[in-house]
Amino acid sequence: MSLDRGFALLMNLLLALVCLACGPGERAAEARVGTLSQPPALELAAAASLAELAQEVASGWEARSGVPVRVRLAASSTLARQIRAGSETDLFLSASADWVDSLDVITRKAWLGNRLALVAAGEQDIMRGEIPRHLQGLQSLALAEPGVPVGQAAEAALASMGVALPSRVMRGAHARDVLSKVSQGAAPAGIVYVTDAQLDDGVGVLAVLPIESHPPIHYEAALLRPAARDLFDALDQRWALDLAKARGFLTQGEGNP
Amino acid sequence: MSAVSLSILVGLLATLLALPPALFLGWVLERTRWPGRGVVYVLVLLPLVLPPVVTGYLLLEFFSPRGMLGRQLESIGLPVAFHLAGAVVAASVVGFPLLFMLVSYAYRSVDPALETVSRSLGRGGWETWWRVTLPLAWPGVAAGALLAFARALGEFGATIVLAGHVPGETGTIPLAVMALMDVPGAEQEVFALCGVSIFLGVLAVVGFRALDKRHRTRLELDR
Amino acid sequence: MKFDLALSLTRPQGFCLDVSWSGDVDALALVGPSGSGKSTALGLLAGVEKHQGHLRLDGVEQAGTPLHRRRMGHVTQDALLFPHLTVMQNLHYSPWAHTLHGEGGVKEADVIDALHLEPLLDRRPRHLSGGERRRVALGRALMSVPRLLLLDEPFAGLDAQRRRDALSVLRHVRARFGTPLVLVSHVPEDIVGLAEHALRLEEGRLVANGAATSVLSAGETRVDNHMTGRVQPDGRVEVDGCDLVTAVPRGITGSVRLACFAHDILLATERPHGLSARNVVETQVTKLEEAGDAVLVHVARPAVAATLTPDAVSELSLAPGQRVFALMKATSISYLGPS
Repeated sequence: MSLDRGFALLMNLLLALVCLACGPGERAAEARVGTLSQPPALELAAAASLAELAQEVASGWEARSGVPVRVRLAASSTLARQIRAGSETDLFLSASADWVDSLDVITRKAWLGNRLALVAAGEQDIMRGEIPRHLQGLQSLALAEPGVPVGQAAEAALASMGVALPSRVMRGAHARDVLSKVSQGAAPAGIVYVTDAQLDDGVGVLAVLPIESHPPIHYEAALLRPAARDLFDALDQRWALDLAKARGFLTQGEGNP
Repeated sequence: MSAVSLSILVGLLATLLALPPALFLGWVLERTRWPGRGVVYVLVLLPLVLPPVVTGYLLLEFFSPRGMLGRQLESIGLPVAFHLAGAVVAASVVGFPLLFMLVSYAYRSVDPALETVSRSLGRGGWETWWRVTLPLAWPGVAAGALLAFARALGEFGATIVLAGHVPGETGTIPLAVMALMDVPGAEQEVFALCGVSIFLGVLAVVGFRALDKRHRTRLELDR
Repeated sequence: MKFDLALSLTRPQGFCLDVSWSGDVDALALVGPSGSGKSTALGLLAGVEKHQGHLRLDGVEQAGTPLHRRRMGHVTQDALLFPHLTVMQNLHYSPWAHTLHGEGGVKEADVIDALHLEPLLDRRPRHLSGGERRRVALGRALMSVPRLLLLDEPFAGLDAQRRRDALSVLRHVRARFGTPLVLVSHVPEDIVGLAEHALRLEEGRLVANGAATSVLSAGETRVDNHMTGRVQPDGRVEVDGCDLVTAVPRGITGSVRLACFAHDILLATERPHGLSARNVVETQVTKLEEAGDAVLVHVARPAVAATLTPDAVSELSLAPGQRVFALMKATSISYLGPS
């Protein structure tokens, strides 16, 4: 028996896998055609650190306007790349203004603010003493990829505090990935948003990094298609800002310019 | 270490790690008959059809510092999850079904009557495997190893879950490409890594074809 | 060797083998048509397959002995040489091949010489002809110093001339190494002169057993006589003290292997005159043997047999001890090769 037969079998298997992989895409397309009688869903792309808030805002808007909203979550950098590559997106909530700069937008505005926290697995007491000294002693640290806003902010904070990157850096794809890496014990500590740190019971905050140690963290809202104009405007309405506050985000007048 | 040399290191180690169990299991499943064989077959081939992320997740449950095996390994100074060993294990497990299949086909192409003659001439089972089965199956085994190596180079899903992205330690080509895609102005590097991937892939497939041909020549010219 | 066999096997496809026999012979033949179970029976003797029943050789049950300790020189029909090894490496494959030097057993040089393997030693099996492969396989089995040699259709697929040659080589090997053997052949005539005793199988059952010639059926009488002799200065060949005129080509010297079919030999009770046959040898009848529908008449010097019809035997009143003249044409005594 020749290896060719094995190879052919393998190819068939691969082909079958490809077909399986294609399946859901086609079904999704059919679903969209099927719902034409309702108003089409708005496509909302949101930074991973906004996950829960974006969902809440989407449901809130759906309740108020009757327009369904679909939320897609990833690192802001990843979403920006997807939007540049032509993904159907009406509204983009980015964790950094930089990634909005690279896009063609109808209009944009600063929305929320956030702070960075040094976190570690397990219950933690807020650290006393010097943060830099503690950081210096770490052999390894979990940070987001350098292109991701929370990663950029964390590296800027470390630099301004005069702390060199440890030799071993566990890179997370986005803020939430960093959180789960710390929770899984992949690194003794990590830097995430304060709002993230509250979400995982397995992770405790060692310190909130000084707000002046890094450039201010701005979440920006970018309107990409006119369909989402009303939602874009509603982001600054009371109900939406209350939701954000409840999740620990900074709103106008709370150190958020 | 650069993503390219790291990928090659991880690929080599992953292939070496998968080879002994593939040679053993391939032989057992090809040359012996027992109830429950089918179940083992399914388990062995499962990583081929499971989403690599699922494979990675199951491995993480097992190898994480709190997992069954992970705790033991960590205590003897061999942490697997989120370390180089994790990248090797992930690539090894995902590449294993490919290697196993090709090793099985290589064994199947060796006439069992030759093994019987060998034993009849006084060589026991192990010696027969070493002196007859393996030398005859060798080019097929090597072809399988090459394919598994190529698969290991491209492994992403299980690796990102089990090993995470630690540049210089677990940051193989696919992980580096994934990270670089989100870095403004890194297109050059992404293109370079894509080029290297294509080059290595072509090399592996060409090598596979050559070894496969050699395997068939070796066994069929004699028939 | 003392055999005590009860070979019993049922295959899922319905084939059933059931052969029981015991006896003390050094060369046993299994004959019968294709599909009669000869090769299966030989495989069971070799131990390549498990069976219900028993197998005692010289009183020792073999069932519990693993294949690699049985020391059976099993030579299968397709020689099954190891394709990745040279002929020399094939010959040396058995671990016992390395222990035979100087132990008074089989010597490597003897095997190579007896089977004419010298020119093949560095070749790979894929560059050998079918007959060459079989010789190497036989050599490989002999080198493993087997207790019993099991040969499966050693002549299948060979043309008449090569078949004669192979048969003569086997006789030579038997005489030289003295290893007991079991031989399978679907051409019963091949076994005469090689095996003492024969079992005839049909559809997995033993249908006849007795002296090799006795299991031949009607029409199976192309028995061959093999001789070895020494070429004399005058070109004749001395065999068993008789100088014979033969078909040995000019220029050949030393020991030679010859063959002459039994049906090419005539017997006369008086010295004939005016005959073209070049050899007229005065000799004695030693034995009469039934062979199918004919009679094999064995004579003393040279030790050959002649095929006669039962009518001719009774007309000449042939009986053991009787003086006869054996008549052989020079051209019917073929030269097979050096000895």
